[in-house]
Amino acid sequence: MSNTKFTKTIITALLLSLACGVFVSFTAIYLRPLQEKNKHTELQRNILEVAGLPATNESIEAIFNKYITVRLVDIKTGEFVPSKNAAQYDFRKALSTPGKYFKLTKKQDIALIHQIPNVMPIYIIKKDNEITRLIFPIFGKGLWSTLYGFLALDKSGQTIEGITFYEHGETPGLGGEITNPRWKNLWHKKQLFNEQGEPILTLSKIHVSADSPQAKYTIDSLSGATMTSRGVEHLVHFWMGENGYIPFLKKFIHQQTNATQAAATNETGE
Amino acid sequence: MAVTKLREALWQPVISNNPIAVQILGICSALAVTSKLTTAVIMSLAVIVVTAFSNLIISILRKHIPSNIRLIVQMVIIATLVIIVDQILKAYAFSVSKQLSVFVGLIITNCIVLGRVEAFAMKNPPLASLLDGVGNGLGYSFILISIGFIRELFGSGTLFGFTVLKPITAGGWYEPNGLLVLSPSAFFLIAFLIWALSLFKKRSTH
Repeated sequence: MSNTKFTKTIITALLLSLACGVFVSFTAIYLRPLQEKNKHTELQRNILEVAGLPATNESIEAIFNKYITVRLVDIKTGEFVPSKNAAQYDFRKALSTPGKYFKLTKKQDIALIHQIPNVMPIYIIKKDNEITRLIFPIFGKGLWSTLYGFLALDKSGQTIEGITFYEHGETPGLGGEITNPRWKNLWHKKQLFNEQGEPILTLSKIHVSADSPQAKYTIDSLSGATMTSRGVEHLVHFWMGENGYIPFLKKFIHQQTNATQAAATNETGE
Repeated sequence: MAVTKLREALWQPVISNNPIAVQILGICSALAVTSKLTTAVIMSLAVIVVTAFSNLIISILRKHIPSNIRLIVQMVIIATLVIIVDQILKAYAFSVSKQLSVFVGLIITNCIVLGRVEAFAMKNPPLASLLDGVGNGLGYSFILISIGFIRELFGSGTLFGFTVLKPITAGGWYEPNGLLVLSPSAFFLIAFLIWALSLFKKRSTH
C-alpha cells in the first residue's frame, strides 16, 4: 500500500499506539513490585535520617525495627488508635478513601492540601527504653507540587531535631534544594513555638544573625525559591497547629510528664 | 566498502562529528547531570539505549511509515523507549534515578535522538542505523563522562563517590572548587571541549 494513503496512515497510527501501549503497560506492571519496595525503603531511610540514627552495617529495615515504634493517632482527638499493623498504614491511601479523611475549611487550610486523613502515623524513637524523638509525617503545597516529608521533634515537642522531604516535584536547583543537607541542618534545634505557645517559626529572606532573639525561630529561606519556602513555612505551621498534631502533642507531653512524676514519687516513697 | 561505511557510522559521531561538541545538541542534560560521575554514566547508558533502539526500530519500519505522520511515529517510539528506560531505572537503580529526576524523561526531547532518527535511520538499513545510534550515544557519553569526571574530581574531590582528593572539611588538604558543583561550570568545560575538538579536527585535516 502506498505510504500516502489515508487508510494506511490510520492503520499505522492505530497499530503503533497499540504496540507501544502494550510495551509500556507491560514494563510498568512487571516492575511495579520492585519500585514499590524501593519507595518503602526510601521512606524508612528518610525516617532514620530525621531520627538521627546513623547508618550502620545493619539493613535499613533492621535499624528501623530496632528503634522505631509506629503508632496511629486520631488527628482530631489526639488519641492513639489501637492497630496491629500500624507500620503498614498508608495515609496517602486514606486520603483517597471516602470516610477516611475530612475536608478542611478555607481558613484552616493554610498548607493548601484541601483534606487530611482522620488518622496519621507517628514514629516514636526509643533508645534504651527512653523516648528521644517524635517524628511526624508532614505535607503541603510548594510551588509546583505537594511536598511530602517528616519533621522530627525532641521529646518535649518544642524543639526541632530535623526535617526531610522524600517526595516533591519542585524545580531542581531552586525549590528542589529543600533536600539539600546543608539547608536541612539549619533546622536543627530551632524552636517551633513562642512563650505563648503560638507557632512562630519563620523562613526569612533576610539572614538573622545568631545572637538575635529571633534567631531560634528563624531559618534562612531558599534563594530563588520564594514560593517553595513559603509553602514549607505554611505546612510546618499547619501540622504544628491546632488542626495538625497539637491535640496529640498536648496529650502526649502531659502523659509523659505525669508518668515521670509518678515514677519520681514512687522512688521517693520507697 | 560496506564495512568501512558501517565503521564510519559507529565512530564518526564519537569524535569528529560529536553531537554535543560539533553539532551543539543535547546541551541541557549535559549541564544538569554531570556534577557526579555516577549520574553521568547512568544517563549516558540510558541515552545510548534510546538512540540505538529508536534508530533500529525506525530503520526497520522506515519503508512503512506514512510521511504525513512521520514525526509523530518517531516521537511515539522514542517516548515509549524512554518510559521503559525510566521504569527500569526506578526499579533497579532507584537512588540514581532520583538524582536524575526529570532528566531521564527529558531524553524524549533530546535533539540528538530525533535528529539521528530523522536524518539517518529514515534513509539507511537497520544495521547501519543501529551502529549510528550507538555511535551518537557514545559521542554524547564521551562528553558527559569527561565533564562528569572533571566536575566531580575537582568539585567534590571524589570519583564515583569515593574520596580521591581529601577535602579540608574532612581533615585533608584539598579545597574543593564550589563552582564546579554548579551547572554553569559545565558551560565553560563544554566550551573548552568544543575548542579542543575543533583544534584536533583542524590538525587532522591539514
